[in-house]
Amino acid sequence: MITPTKGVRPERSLLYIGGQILSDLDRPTTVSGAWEALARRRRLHGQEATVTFDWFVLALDLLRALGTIRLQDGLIVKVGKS
Amino acid sequence: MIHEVTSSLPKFKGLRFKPGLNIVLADRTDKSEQTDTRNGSGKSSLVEILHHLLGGKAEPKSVFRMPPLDEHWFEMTFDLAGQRIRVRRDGATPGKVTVATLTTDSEYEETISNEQWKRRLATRVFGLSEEGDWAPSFRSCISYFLRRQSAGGFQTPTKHFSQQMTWDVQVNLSFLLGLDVELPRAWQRLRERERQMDTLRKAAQGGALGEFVGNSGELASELAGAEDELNTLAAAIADFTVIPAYTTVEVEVTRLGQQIRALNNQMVSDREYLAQLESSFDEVEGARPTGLAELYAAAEVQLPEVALAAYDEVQAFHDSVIANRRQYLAAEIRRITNELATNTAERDRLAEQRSDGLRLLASGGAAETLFELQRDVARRQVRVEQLRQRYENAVALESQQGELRLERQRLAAALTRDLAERQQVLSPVFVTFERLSQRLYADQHHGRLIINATDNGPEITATIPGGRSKGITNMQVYCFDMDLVTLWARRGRGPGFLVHDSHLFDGVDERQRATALQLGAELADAEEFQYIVTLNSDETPAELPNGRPIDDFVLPQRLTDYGEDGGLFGLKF
Repeated sequence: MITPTKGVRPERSLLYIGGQILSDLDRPTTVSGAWEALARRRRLHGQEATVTFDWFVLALDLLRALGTIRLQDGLIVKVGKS
Repeated sequence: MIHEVTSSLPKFKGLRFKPGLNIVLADRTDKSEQTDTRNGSGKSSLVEILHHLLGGKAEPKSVFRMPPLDEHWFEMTFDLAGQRIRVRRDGATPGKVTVATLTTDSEYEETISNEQWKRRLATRVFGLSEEGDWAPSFRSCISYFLRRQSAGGFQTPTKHFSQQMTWDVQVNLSFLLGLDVELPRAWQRLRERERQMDTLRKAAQGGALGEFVGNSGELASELAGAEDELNTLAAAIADFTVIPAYTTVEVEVTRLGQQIRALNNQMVSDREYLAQLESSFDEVEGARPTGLAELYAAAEVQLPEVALAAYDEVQAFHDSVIANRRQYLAAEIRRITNELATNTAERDRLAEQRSDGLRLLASGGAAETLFELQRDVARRQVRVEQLRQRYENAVALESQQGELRLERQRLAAALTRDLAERQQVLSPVFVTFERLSQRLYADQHHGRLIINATDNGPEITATIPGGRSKGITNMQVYCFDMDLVTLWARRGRGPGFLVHDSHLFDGVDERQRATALQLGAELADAEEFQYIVTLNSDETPAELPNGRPIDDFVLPQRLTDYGEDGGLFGLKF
């Protein structure tokens, strides 16, 4: 589910989605903001494969587990390389 | 008969007449032909003087009312119904005539109005008593005995002036010839009614649009419709309430309507958004709690080299994300729900306001609207009135058209019957005319006086065949006049004289001219009337066909168109 497999197409894999989320995360964003930005981006790219809110949250969880993002005052922020 | 004509003009050529044929001779000179002969020798003026003394019109432009004649009087002595009468009229008071009744030992003089004089002449000369519309008149009747060249009196036997109206010819000639005068009068009344009908017909067809509505049926229907519309409108005006601030209210109602529409649009999109929010909220609520464990399990396989954050930390992050989302959605749902409630209340409030305004507007209107309605009512009233008029005209028209047609036929039938019944009265008239024409043209031409009953009244024609030469036409007039004067002389009434101006003999062959004079002299003697003829000396035969010298009939007082004082008036002007 993280990387594409036989049952998971590349654009539905959590790593791919996580990448998309990160692309829009130039500044601190609310959960809903990130969710809507992802929806916009995928619509723009013509990616019809449904991403449920569950799946989106798992993509966020992956990014958090990898230490790429964190919550700060309720907003999602990228963790800078220090 | 006429005895004498004189004037207060110092050099006037007073004329004394005898019974029978009288020839007033005028000498024509070569010299005078080059000069102005407007006044000439005064032959035609003699006829004018006789008209003047027999009640003729004396308009301001009449020669008798202009210098130099206006300071003088003219006078005539003549026999009127067995009495010798002297009548005098002057240019200064043309509305009056002085009439003297002369007997051997006395003289009774009075001054009466010209109108009274004409009435007296009508009674005594022709026995005319009737007056009123289209009645025979003395002036028209006497003009057949005193034709004027200037009025076109010699153009056709039946007219004494060229523009004489049909009714005038029919009424007066019927009277003079002894026909029923009431028939031509009835025809003229009929023509008057027909003229009115024509006016009505035009009115019925007219109207501002000029549309043709031909019959009363169509008009009745149109009228009923127009009246109904007018009544409805009049009732609306009776109930009308004037709202002083009408325009303000109207603007407000329009503005409220726009606001209400905008709010409704807003509410529709808000509801759609709310539905979306609620569905998202359900999605968040139904998020699977187990997903994270599967992620970590998958990471061990798919990302074996990567160090992941502690499960608990990520679990906390996971819960926070979901909570944030739920909070956001909940807040948004509350906001939209509140906004919807507010907008609905506002919309309802505005709608209420608007319907108040509409109720007000519906109950009445602006003052201008009332004026507009009143103007409309006035316009419709005019139209209804016009339609009613046209309808009434159409009804009158339809009912009368048939009547008038019948009346014409009835009159024509009555005239035919009348002419048949008067055959005995008329036959001497016909015979006289025919004999006169035979004598004139030595049996070459048979002239005929014919009276036809047409659907336009009696048609009287006096013709002598033989082309349209001027001479023949003039002799038709001659025979007709002779016929009339003979007819009246036999009745013992009428003027007792006939005057023929020299113009009547213009273009007439010399032989016929001489025969006409002889015939006139014979007939005047036999029937005891006076025949006065004015002639130019160079156009006058020396003797009549029967050998009598013309001088026997020429008046001693001769006229000439030479010199200042040679003419009848004794002066040139």
